[in-house]
Amino acid sequence: MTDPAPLILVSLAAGDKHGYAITQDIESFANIRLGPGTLYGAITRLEERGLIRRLEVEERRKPYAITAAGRRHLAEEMANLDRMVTTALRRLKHA
Amino acid sequence: MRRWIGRAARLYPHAWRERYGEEFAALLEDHNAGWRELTDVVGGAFRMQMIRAAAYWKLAGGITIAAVVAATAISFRIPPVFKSTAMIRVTPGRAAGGSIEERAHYHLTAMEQTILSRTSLVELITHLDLYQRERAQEPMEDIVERMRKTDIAIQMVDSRPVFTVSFSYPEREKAQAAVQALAKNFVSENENVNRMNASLWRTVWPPASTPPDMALEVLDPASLPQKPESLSHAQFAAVGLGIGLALAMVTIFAIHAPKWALGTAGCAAIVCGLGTAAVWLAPASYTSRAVLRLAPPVVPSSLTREVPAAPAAETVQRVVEVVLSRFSLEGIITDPKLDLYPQRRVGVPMEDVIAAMRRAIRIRFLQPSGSTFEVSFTYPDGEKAQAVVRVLVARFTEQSSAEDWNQARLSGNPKAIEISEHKLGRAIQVMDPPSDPETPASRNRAIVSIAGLALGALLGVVACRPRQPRLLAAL
Repeated sequence: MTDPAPLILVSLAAGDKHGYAITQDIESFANIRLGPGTLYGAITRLEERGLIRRLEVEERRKPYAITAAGRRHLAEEMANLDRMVTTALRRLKHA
Repeated sequence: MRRWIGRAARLYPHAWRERYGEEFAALLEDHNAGWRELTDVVGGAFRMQMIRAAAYWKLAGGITIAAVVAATAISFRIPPVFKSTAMIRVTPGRAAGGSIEERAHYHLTAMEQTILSRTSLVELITHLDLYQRERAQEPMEDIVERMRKTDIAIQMVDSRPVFTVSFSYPEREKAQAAVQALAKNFVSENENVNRMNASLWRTVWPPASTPPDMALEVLDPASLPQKPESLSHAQFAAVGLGIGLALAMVTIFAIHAPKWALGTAGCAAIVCGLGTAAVWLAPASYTSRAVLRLAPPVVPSSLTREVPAAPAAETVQRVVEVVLSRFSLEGIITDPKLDLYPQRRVGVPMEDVIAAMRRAIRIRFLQPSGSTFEVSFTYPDGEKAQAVVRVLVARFTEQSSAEDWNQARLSGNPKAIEISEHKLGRAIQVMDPPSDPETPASRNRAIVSIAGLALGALLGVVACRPRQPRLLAAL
């Protein structure tokens, strides 16, 4: 999985996080270290699509939260991924 | 390296930095600062710029296509304009008073002034039922002015004694009919001028001598135009393309720097509004106009060689000085029938009132030689403006006769004195009588509004220009 968007959604599904916390979390569960440009490119697109939202706080580091639409989108993506993984494992077993 | 990454972050679009700049800077502080991060930030900035550029291209394309479609649609709404042309040759006959070229030129100008006079054009308009829609909405004065200045064109062909008469109109048959009528008017007016000159000639010169005349020959009768002269649909579309591209640039500028664009638009609107309001609040004024010409003497060339005539502009200038003298203008101002500037005369010295009247009178030469000129007077009361121009015209004609007589007397030539007494010398004649101004002079309103808009936009561009971006400045 190289697309950073689902990784960010997975990370935010566990709770609100700011940019650096997201990269740390993704590195811990996917072993992928997102660069600052890649991370904020994906955050920009996700926010424009309404899948995540920025929480307005006084601090410089703004946390992000997954929206209901983001959760539905993530669930669909994961279900597709799950079907693909199941199919792949089954075919590998019979090969 | 951290400083380089901070500089790279400035490559992001301005709008993006406004939104994410501060938190992105905080993230960069937390992150490692290596080549990988620098490359990633530069790549991210490039992708973001490309996304914005793509959006801009789509927007620019949309606006341009809309402008082209609108221009093409307008081209179908605007009626085509057909131009009919006739060609006429002037053949100078027996010359008198000056070179053949001079007489031919004067002869043509004299006829042109008569044929394009208000009286003549109004007759043509009503006879051919031209400008039907415009006549229902605008005063005849404006229609005649437009017909004379825009739709009718009289041009000499190179240096030959040939000229063309053309008329542009939405209906080709009427365009042709109008040119036919104009050509016919030229021929009949030529006969009038010849007859008048011959009649004047015989009052002074022996019956055996032949008076000067001029022959007109219509070489090409009025053509029936096949193709319209106005812009084609494709040309309209091309104009729309240009306007669309310009609009797209302005829109992208407005999106890219909204505060600057808004400030510029605000300044332009304020200055334009103030200028327009000032012009609208100013009292209405009416301008009456008359066209005069200085006719050359009807005398044999042998005499004019003996007594060279002063240049036309010089003669007219001497007459203007007398007509606009303090004594002359004071007489007009205090004339009980006119009673000009009644309020101003109460508290202001007469010298200042006369100066104000001089500013309201305009003498405009219509030809480089100075032989034809326009006299106009602007005043809050249209009827009085016309009455004043009538008085001025009368004084011009009287003064020109006196001037001619003075010149003849100074020359000491008995024949010249005889010519001036028979009014065969130089004389100012009325081409267009003083007009009755039906609508107040309002052309300046549009000019003031446009000038205000341009000035305001300029002020706005300078005053509202964006300062150094503050976001990410610390990176």
